[in-house]
Amino acid sequence: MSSIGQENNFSVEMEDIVLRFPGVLANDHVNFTLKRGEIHALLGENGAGKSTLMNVLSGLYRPESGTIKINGKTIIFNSPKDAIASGIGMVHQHFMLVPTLTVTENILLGLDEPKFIMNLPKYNSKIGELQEKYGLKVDPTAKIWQLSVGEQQRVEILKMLYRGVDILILDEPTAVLAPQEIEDLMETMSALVAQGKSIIFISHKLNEVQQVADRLTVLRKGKVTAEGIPVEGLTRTQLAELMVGREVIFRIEKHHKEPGEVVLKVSNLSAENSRGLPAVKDVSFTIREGEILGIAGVAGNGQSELVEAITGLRPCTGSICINGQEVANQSPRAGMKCGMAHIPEDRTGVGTAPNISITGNAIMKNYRQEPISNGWRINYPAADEHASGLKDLYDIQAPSVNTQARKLSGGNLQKLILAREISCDPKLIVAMQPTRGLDVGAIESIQNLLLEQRSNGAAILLLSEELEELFELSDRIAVIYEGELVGQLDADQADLNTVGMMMTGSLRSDE
Amino acid sequence: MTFDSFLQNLANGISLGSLYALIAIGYTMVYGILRLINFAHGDLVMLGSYFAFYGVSMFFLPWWAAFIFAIAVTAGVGVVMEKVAYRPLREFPRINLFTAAVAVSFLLENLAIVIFGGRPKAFSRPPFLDKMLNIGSITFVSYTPIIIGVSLVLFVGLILIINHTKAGTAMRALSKDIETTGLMGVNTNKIIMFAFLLGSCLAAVGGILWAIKFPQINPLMGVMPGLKAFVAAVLGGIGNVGGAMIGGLLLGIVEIMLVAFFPSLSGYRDAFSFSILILLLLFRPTGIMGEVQPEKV
Repeated sequence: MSSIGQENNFSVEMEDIVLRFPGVLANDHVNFTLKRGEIHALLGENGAGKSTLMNVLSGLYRPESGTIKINGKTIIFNSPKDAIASGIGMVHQHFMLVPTLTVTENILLGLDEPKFIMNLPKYNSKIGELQEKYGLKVDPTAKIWQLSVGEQQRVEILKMLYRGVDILILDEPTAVLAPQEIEDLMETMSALVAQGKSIIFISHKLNEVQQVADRLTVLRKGKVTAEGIPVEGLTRTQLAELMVGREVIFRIEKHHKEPGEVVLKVSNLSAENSRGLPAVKDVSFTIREGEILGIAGVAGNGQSELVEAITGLRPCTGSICINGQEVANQSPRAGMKCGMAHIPEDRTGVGTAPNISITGNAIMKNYRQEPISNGWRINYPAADEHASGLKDLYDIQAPSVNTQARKLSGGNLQKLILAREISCDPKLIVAMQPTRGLDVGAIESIQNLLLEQRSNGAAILLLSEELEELFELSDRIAVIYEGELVGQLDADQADLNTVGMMMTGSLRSDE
Repeated sequence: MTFDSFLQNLANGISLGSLYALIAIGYTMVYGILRLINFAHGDLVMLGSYFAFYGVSMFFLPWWAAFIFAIAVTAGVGVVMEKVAYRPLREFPRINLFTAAVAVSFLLENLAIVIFGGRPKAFSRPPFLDKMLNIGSITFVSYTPIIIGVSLVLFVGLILIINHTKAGTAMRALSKDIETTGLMGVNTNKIIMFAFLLGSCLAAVGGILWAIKFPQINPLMGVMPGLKAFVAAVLGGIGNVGGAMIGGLLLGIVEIMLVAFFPSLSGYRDAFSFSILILLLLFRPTGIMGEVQPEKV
């Protein structure tokens, strides 16, 4: 094969791309190539520079140095419009759609054609043809707000295809999707590639990459650690190692520990959801010192309400005792006084105040204690010192403790929450979805922090939708279904099958 | 009251209501996109009638040419107003924009006093608008059906523009989310200018028709119609063009009927309109057509 023939095989060649943000080298001499008709996965932890690199390719950022070749020709993009004109379109994590307009109107908005009159029926059928060709089913006359997230994503893809794009960049497309929708997306991606399109698939979910990608490039801290290597034959451990830069142990070391005294005793707890319907029904359980109780369940079966009732955020009936102290229907502070820590599901809404600094977030629970409290005012130097201590100890990546919490990546934000909660030396930790949306490196450190607290004798209530995580961390597993605990099992005796059947309500076991 | 006089009052109410509606649309379109209550909008009504007046009396244009001239110049004023006073403030807190609107309103009124003179002027109607018409036993002046007809054509035209043109689609998109719409490749400045252009044209038409109905013009004549139209826009659900039309018509009809049924209360006419507003806001704060939407965070 001649070298020219090989050159033509590439639709994108990015060479030696450098881009710097204040204080960060986001892309450090990065090379990236995309072959025509392939699905190329771009992997990396949060903040590794994946999105930055793709924003360069889609014309949003201009690199400081380096060249971009499209189909062998060197090109400089000044705006996303230039990139689209060269056949490159990006589907962002946050969709750019107007909810009150129809699918067709959204696709046509911002185009030069039609000029004045919107002949919707004509364009509806044009978009229908496009859908037919690529198998992207969505009603062109539907308004965006009527569509599911998966359908909205299809509209975004259609928007790009309508603009004649050959190279699609999908930025973490599966992060927002339900499992079935992920399957559909995978099929769509295969169909697009079969029609001659090329796809860049940004992800940090290893199993998806293995399922769908042909080749992959890995970024770590702005540098390429694996360039265009074939996916076939790679193991999950190897992939994870490439991303994180060290070996990731998927089987977590958990030492046997004899549980101690009862810390949390919940009896006959019932609570309503925000619409006034019963959400938690007559739930009773106990957790002992040094024990993790995992609660499995399909989302929306009363988990949020259960956690809110225990942490004092939702009125309830029944009894909640922490070390013998009744805290049901009292303020969250009552629970805190008994040594309760809360790692909430909603990190930016409940877990942190996004617009205030790391220091402000770090002292939210202990601002009343010496030396941070100075009687009636806060001793900010002491608060900053406390926050930097946590930042170093828990390896929170941020320029300084005065950085606003919202500027932290998901993993670092979660580490900040854990740092705050754990530094109070809790007797009881209530953690909901502590690792959701995080990359492998962050998941590993969060899980280890929880296990460390278990060794220190804390009782932990863990709610997660990741069954694997529950099985690895928990000592006992309870299953919640329609607000009731339908079974409690020892983790060593529980198997996925039984728990799965309980989660869907087809099996009950009352011990 | 006889059925005939009811019909006659109804016709009067609809014609007054159409004028309110024409002006209210300008308020509602600008509010929908910029969340700005453009208090200078009423003064565009005044400018429209003055420009028509001078078109006839100073440039000796035929009435139709004078009207087109007046609409064009008023639209120009509206566009300049947006560009000079509002566009530079768009990124700032809403209160700045609102203050600028009040300032522009005072500026236009006082400029009008200086340039046009403070004394009222008599607006002469084209002769064919001065005839008395008899349909059955109902009598009305020929401008009444003309006002209703012109307004109706403009309403239909506007709805077609909003729903079936690219600029209209972009306007609807902008009113939902300016940022996203801009990122989708829409030139937001151009579309906002287009909205001001449409609103100012309708205000000018409203001003000309107002002067035909009440043929005495003065520099502060825009204030009351402006306020009433604002009430109509809120009544219909501010931000909603269809609501502005309904609110305007409703307000016009109710006002005329009040005077017709209770002649002794005619002095309380304006108080009555504003009371309706307060009552409606108590029970339906978002107006008749307004959607109940949670506050954006």
